[in-house]
Amino acid sequence: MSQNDKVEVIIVGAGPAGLTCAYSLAKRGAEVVVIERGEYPGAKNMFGGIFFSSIMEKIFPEFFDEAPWERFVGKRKFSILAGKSELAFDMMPSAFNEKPYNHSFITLRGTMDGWLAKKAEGAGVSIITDYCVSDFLYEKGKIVGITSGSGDEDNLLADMIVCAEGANSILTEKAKLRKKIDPERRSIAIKENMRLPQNVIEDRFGLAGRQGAAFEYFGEAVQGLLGNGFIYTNKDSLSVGVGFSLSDFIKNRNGKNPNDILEDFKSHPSIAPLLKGAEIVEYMAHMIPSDGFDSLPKLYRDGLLVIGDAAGLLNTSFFHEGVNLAMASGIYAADTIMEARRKNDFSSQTLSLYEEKLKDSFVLQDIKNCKNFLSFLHKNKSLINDYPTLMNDILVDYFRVSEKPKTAVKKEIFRKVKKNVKFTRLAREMWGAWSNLI
Amino acid sequence: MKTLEQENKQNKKLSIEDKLFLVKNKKDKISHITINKKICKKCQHKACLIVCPAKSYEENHGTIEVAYENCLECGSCRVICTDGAIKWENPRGGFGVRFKNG
Ligand SMILES: Cc1cc2nc3c(=O)[nH]c(=O)nc-3n(C[C@H](O)[C@H](O)[C@H](O)COP(=O)(O)OP(=O)(O)OC[C@H]3O[C@@H](n4cnc5c(N)ncnc54)[C@H](O)[C@@H]3O)c2cc1C
Ligand code: SF4
Ligand code: SF4
Repeated sequence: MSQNDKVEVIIVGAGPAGLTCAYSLAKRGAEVVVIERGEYPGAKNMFGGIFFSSIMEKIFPEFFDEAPWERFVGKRKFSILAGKSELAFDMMPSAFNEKPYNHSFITLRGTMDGWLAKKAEGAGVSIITDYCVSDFLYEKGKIVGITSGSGDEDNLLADMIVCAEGANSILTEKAKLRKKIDPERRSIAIKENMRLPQNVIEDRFGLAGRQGAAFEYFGEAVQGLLGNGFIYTNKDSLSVGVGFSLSDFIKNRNGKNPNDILEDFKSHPSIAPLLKGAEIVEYMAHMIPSDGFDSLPKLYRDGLLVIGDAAGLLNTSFFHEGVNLAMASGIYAADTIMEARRKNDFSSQTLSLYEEKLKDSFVLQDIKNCKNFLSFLHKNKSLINDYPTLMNDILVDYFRVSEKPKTAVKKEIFRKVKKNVKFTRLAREMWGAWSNLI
Repeated sequence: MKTLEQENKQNKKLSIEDKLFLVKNKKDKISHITINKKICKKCQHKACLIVCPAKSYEENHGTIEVAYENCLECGSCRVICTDGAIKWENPRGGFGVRFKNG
């Protein structure tokens, strides 16, 4: 690259957001360069994870037959660990076990990001890897290019730049679109990829063919922190991890680090048998945004749009949707850039169309709908800590085999509940849960 | 016959060091993390010491030190350091972790 190299659009970050935006632009004739700091797309990335593929399948109808997904999510479990006990809600809906498989596919980023990158390249996108953007270049307040910080010969200029840098949004901060991130607005997640033979996985989890299981664990799984543990079945490995709010680490002083919590989770009597014999092949860490509707960054400025996790566009509710919102924001950004290109006007006034498009779509509507989800749980920890334990105790008492008459057992349970639960508070919390969580 | 607990203990436990050994990592000579140690002196929570999944942070005789070579690039220390003592840049292109599975 020479100092004066200029392209139409530069996209920083080859994740689902950046690659989708690049593909969508290139398909419509724009000249696009994607810059990725990793050695290959996916090298720096990790997620749970379930790829919610409805948008992917609209863009790439061949997704189902071609993409390197591991298993479709045929079985789901939401479980509460309390002490050494488990209480779970298990589901295997027939509708999720036939096409389109509820658009939910367990995947690994290493293979999926590479597949998406190939699709983008096929549409004419150039991807430059091993290039880390250290800052944007400015001219009269407009963002006009990128630099790696190691000399002018690496600089690249463009009419438009799209920032798709993900959750650790350093460039977005440098461009003054957001303030220093508050620890309440990010979770840390760590994950192990554990190899286990395909037939063992299928026998152990009761899976047929390419059916897969996605298990989420709450309560003791993360020791009272706001977050959860998870197990997802890949073809011949398991994704096992825990994730929790960073702010809880400031308040919680029990001194355990994320790896200790993961190890405790893995040795829980409900979890350990599922992992028996599995060999750890990789250990990874990543942040998850939880900006929420009221703390989203500014999404544009002259010459720049921010998409995906960098823009905090993640549904922080039970649904944990990230990749589909990232891809949707990439498409809306591409639509906006095509409009700006037609007008030859890349000012923030034209680019504000991007935010309008997001507002009209499920992206910002869903994020708005769950805007109180995390703050509500932060304030009402009993919902994730005390009630699950109590519920477990109640069920244990109820089902315990003894010579006590059942009416006496019921009375005892009622006394226990009365002692532990303030009903007015419970009613308030349940109402809060209904309006903020669902 | 083993008890349930003994049976479960059979799962091999790896230390953080062992786990980090599994991660492909091209280590740079230049640190991508710098700490303003003066600020740390006044820090109330020192959460960097517990949050890091690579246990990169240590306190030695009252000063905070970071073994940047072990970093998994999650960025959590940068966010959790509410006093802004940590200056964290992405490792230069071509350096740092290289996840295979993700
Ligand atoms: C543990 C975990 C579990 C998750 N589970 C799910 C799930 O089950 N379902 C779901 O839908 N979502 C899930 N998510 C969220 C999902 O992964 C994200 O929402 C999604 O990856 C966002 O895509 P993105 O393209 O915006 O960012 P990323 O995927 O983070 O991509 C950003 C890219 O930019 C590159 N980059 C960053 N900075 C620079 C720079 N300065 N120069 C050059 N390149 C740069 C990075 O290397 C990376 O390739 C999970 C996340 C985590 C961490
Ligand atoms: S959190 Fe920041 S200020 Fe506090 S000890 Fe760690 S590096 Fe220093
Ligand atoms: S970025 Fe993550 S892995 Fe790296 S030093 Fe900070 S907390 Fe540790």
